[in-house]
Amino acid sequence: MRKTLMLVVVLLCASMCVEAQTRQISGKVTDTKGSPIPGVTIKIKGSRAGTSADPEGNYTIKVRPSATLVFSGVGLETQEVEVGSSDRLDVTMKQSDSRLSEVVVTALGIRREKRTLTYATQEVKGSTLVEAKQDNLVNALAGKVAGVQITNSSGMPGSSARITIRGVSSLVGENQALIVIDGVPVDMEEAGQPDNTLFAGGLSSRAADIDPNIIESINVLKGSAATAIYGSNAARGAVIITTKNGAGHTGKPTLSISSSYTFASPILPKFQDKYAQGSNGKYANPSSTSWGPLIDTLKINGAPAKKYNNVKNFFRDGHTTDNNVSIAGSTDKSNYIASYSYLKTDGNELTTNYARHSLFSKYTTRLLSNLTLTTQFNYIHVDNHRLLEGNGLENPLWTVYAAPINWNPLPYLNPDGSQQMYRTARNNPYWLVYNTGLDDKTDRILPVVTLSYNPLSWLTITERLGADMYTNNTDFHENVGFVGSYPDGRIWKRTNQFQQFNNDLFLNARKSFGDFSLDAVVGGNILTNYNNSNFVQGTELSIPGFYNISNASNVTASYGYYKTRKVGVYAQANLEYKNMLTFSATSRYDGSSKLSQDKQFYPYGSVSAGFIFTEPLHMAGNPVLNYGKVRVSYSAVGNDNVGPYSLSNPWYHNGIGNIAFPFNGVNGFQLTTTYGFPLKNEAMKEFETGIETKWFQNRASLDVTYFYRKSTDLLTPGVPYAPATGFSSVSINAGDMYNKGIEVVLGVTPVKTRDLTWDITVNFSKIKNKVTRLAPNITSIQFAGFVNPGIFAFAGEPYGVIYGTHFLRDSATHKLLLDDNGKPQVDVGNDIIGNVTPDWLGGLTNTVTWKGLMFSFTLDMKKGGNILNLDKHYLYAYGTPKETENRGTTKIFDGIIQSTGKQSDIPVVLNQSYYANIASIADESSVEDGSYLKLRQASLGYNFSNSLLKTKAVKNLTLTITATNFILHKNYSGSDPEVSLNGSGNGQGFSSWDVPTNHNIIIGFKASF
Amino acid sequence: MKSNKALSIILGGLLLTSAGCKKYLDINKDPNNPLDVSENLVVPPVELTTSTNIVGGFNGTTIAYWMQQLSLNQPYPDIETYLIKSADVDNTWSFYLYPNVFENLSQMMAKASAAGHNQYMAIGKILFAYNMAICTDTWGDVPFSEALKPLEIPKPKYDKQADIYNGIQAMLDSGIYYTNQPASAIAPGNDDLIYGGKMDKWRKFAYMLKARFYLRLTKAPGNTAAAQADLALAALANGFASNADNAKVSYTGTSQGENPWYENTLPSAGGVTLAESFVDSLNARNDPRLPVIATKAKDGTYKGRPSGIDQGLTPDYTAFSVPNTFYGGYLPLDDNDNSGAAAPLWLATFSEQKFIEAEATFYKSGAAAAQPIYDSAIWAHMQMLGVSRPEFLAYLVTRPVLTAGNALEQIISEKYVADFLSIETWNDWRRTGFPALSLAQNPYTTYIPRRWPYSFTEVTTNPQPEQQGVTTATRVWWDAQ
Repeated sequence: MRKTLMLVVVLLCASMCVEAQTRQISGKVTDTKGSPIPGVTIKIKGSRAGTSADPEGNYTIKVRPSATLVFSGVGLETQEVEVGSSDRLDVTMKQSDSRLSEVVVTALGIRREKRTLTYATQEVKGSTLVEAKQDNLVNALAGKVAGVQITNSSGMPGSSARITIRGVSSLVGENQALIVIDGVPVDMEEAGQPDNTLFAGGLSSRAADIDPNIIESINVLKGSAATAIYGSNAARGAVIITTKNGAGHTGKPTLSISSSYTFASPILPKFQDKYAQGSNGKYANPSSTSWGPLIDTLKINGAPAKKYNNVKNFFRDGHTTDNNVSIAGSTDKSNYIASYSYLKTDGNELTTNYARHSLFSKYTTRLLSNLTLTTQFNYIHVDNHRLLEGNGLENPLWTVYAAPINWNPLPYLNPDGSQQMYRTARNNPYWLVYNTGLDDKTDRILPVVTLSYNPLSWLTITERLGADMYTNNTDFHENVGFVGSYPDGRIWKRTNQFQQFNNDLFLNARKSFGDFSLDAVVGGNILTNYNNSNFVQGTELSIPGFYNISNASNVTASYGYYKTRKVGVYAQANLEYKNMLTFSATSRYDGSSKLSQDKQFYPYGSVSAGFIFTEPLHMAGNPVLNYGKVRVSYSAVGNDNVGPYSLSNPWYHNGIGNIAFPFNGVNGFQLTTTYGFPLKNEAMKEFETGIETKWFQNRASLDVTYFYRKSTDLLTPGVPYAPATGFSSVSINAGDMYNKGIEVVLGVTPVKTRDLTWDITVNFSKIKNKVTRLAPNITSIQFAGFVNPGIFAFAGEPYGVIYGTHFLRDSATHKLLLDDNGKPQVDVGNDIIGNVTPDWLGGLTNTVTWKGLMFSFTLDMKKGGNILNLDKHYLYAYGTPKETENRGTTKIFDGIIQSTGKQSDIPVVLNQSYYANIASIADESSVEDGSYLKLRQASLGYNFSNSLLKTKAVKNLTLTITATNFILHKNYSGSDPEVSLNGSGNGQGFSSWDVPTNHNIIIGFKASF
Repeated sequence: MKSNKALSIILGGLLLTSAGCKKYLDINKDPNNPLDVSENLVVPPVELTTSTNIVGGFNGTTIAYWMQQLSLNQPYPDIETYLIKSADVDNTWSFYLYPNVFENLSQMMAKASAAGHNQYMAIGKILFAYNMAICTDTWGDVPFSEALKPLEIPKPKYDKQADIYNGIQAMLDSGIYYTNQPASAIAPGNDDLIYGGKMDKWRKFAYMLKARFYLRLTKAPGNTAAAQADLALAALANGFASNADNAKVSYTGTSQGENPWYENTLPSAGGVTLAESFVDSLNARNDPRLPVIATKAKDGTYKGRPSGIDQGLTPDYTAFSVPNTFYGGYLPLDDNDNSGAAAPLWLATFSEQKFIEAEATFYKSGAAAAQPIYDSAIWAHMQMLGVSRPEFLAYLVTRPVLTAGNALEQIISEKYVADFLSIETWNDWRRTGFPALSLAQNPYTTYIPRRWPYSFTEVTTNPQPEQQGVTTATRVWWDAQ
């Protein structure tokens, strides 16, 4: 008892003594511009004690005399300051320019240091996107991110581009990455084409609505570990876009203006220019084909025949103007930015154009010391005038590419008002330009409200409500006099009303416990989607040229409502030890309205770890390898990748051929031809491992990642089924698929001096994909094209094989089996004749900066991947491609005469009969290699701010000249091997009369005041 | 403390109750399309599929080209020169026949049977039999007994054509049974585009079809012409009585209500004309039906296009005669007359029945007995086309009298004209070899096809042994040598 009392007294004394010796230090932490930095960690060196700066940047801490305080924060250079005689210690902290403290925006808009990430990501700065000078921001990413494949669809203004990360993981259904803007997922689809994309081409893409000028940075989250917190919509990867804000523009507001002009010239396929209209060497008019005599010696009606280059004459040079003005500013309590852009493109086909107005505004303000409110909205208006692409007769390219060179398409009307044509059943292309067309208008608004509450220094509660709302109106017309199914004209109008609301409420806690620091997130998400579509079509126009539904003799209409909902709860925990070892775990539980009621809810999650092995080895100062991290992750994600109402077998109000209901006073319905089986979620398991290294004191970096992703129970809403069952397709969980590959990103800075910097970044990815299993009664799934040829998936084959007719070959040696005349023979069955998946993709970006001068270029390379160029199938029969100039010459085919078994030595005359009866018939003749090497962009710019401008008014002035989309190498005979009739849809690698893309030269300036 | 309270409220709010969640997600019922419809809404699409997509669709045009009644003014190789691939026939098998006709009728009959709607059962049975015959005549062995069970039998086996024909006859008998049942409260009316719900006409149609299908098997292994003739004649006793009983689908002729042959002869179809051999034979006989069937060519004469000729030599299709408006033709030289759009599409005619009767009578009783029936068969067709009796009699006089040696050829050759644009011409040509057709120019195969290849989707989703080694030269069971 006494002893205890003594102990207590001693302790009390000791503590009092200690107290008498401790001091209370307080101060404010600010950045170099004087703004307070909240949340900075202040630790006592050598001790476990510490505190954090409050939202005002103020802190208070008790220290012993001559203690050293360590100030550290995300993205900031750590500072150690000795406590001096004063009790007040204000500290200014600098942004860390070391790449070690690179900050990236991850899922949900949470900023994390790249060091602590346990999965693969890659960042692209907003300025890079703007430099790429593309109308569609998805195109701007091409060649810049490893593992990401961007495929443009065509040269039509407003065209969509498809973005897939790490290959395709779903059979039929959305395969594109999720686009998230400021934490809110947005729609980036192309609206459905009522006349079917195969016959009419695509429509404007919603991804193209986003103005690159408002983007601060893009972070591409590649693997499912990265996106497991976003839920199944991000199972294919996510593109996290962060828009600009006004922070950093202290004092007077900053006004920025930029403007550019693009000059575009079309890349045209090549055609023969020697042989005129006719057949078998004889001139004939009308005639569908160009197998006539040599035009140089041809006389028509006594006069020498004139030669016309119809392809070159039909296309014009396009141009684009892009103007942006923005104003940004900040005070210590708030910051704001407002930006307006206007983009106008005139396409390379007459009358086609695309105009986009984009108004963006963001306002962040501190309501209370620990409550911040951000409100923003983005209003976009798009106006797109298109001509039809695809296989329908409304596409002018049917005629432009197939017309004989002796035909002058102008004037396009005969004196009696009918079209001037070179044959039946093909419209005059100029008549189509002035009498058909599609107008696509969209009004879109993306508002987001974010409330951020800091009740405790280590806890942030965020409530974010965002919406994506748009109305999309498409008007189509074809005038009286059209040669096709509707000679008396047709108009239709389709209105889509789309509304999507996303609500996230989550807690983010950051706390340090000695050597450990924990970053945890817990939250809930609700995503609702509502779509209302109206369609009205009128045929038989009473007054030619008047395109209003009142003018139609026969009107049919339909409309539909679509509603889906998703709820989810999620949690994520990140534990870091001594800045070198990180463990991370995520989990999520989702429920979707689209799946069967008993299988609606599905859980998933991920675990991952990262180890910076250079830390314990103290290699940060090592001249060779100064940073190295290994990471490994494993995730399991669920997916509800199917449309609403897929579980039932409804009756449809279909037309029968040309007949529309009601017919003769009666109505009728037809049972669906797709049988709906009960559906559960898809599952995807992914294993990823990688190594990130930095060499020569950050002068070089090498990141290598390997991933293996297996998708099971893939949802397939329309898989072919034996039609004799009464249903020709079924909606079912069918099949498994895997993707595996490596991604390599290499960065080198060979030169870095005060005036001169030279950066090179190379990225490379190789992805292998295979459909391992299809459900028991499913043999194949078709994505695009005709039944034959088309793009399919078969078990045991990579996703996206081209299936069609081919030449007869010996099954062992694979040599051609020729007939007795040495000619190839077309086999009676169908087979796999190509594969759309590329062998590998690579990109190289090179930037040189010298004082104010900047020069950079990006090369983009795709090796392998076939394209089914359906144009060839038709054009071979017509005799217009450049290849057919060799008519009359002979060729000995490398094959075996089937009847004798001997190698052929019989020359075959390559004439009309060969091209029309043999080459054109086999679909394999239309399969081409889609490899290419493109100069995506090359730009030269000069920044005037340092040298010439001495005035304070102009802060910044940059002039640039850029060239984009120059194809350095291609094996493709069409315009651009980066083509897809299906736009951003799943059936890639299929081309049918797509509008050619352009070479572009752009000049522009950017100034800020 | 305050913040702790806030924390717990928020955490509690995050945990949504399971029941509340489920209800919130229960919105997957399709508001845009009905899940159940009554019989009167199923019948019109099925009848229009039969007439527009099948009889007047790809089946109709293909057979018209192969049987050289029509010619397609396009470069070879094409359908006219016998180029046909599994992808070309896919729509007919994978959409029109099995799902749109058979499955829809099967669902309709299930409803009608449960509700006791006898008249709908009758229509269902007869239409099903009609289309199943088209299916098996085109492809030979096809799924029948195991078809239409998507869950139980995902890969239905193929039945032998002999068994299918037995099934067809049984179905027609069943249809006849239902036509004799008392009228139910809910019965077909306007929704029946063929007969307006009149059961006596459906009964006659069923008997006529029975006769047609009996006579189809005159050469089938295990059958004799005499036996089939007996069966046919017995059925014909209850068949059509006159042209008023013709089975046809009427079209309105207004936009999106046009006859399929009007659509098939639009300029966008590529230039469809009459074939030379057909026009020449009508010209040679001074057939008074020629002006009703065909239009004059640009030069004022009746001229047909040689089948398969190099299109470079025939650039302008109006240099030839085209089908006239009676059969639905679009007139390129008279744009203002679009009465062809309102022409009906015939599924079975009285004159065809008379020809069946003539042929059966010939087998049973000889040429002399067949003669008057043959004469009335020709008259039935001419009457349908509006040809006058004196013209008919004048024509008849020029025709050779039927003898044992020429009867079959005469009957079938005249039937060929009466069956203009009917798919029956191909069945008769395969079975009898008449009319004698020479191969088209520039043929893709060395023979006129005797069947279609199996559909692309069918071959990939339901591989069956019957599909092995089948080419367009492979004869179907009843098409014995």
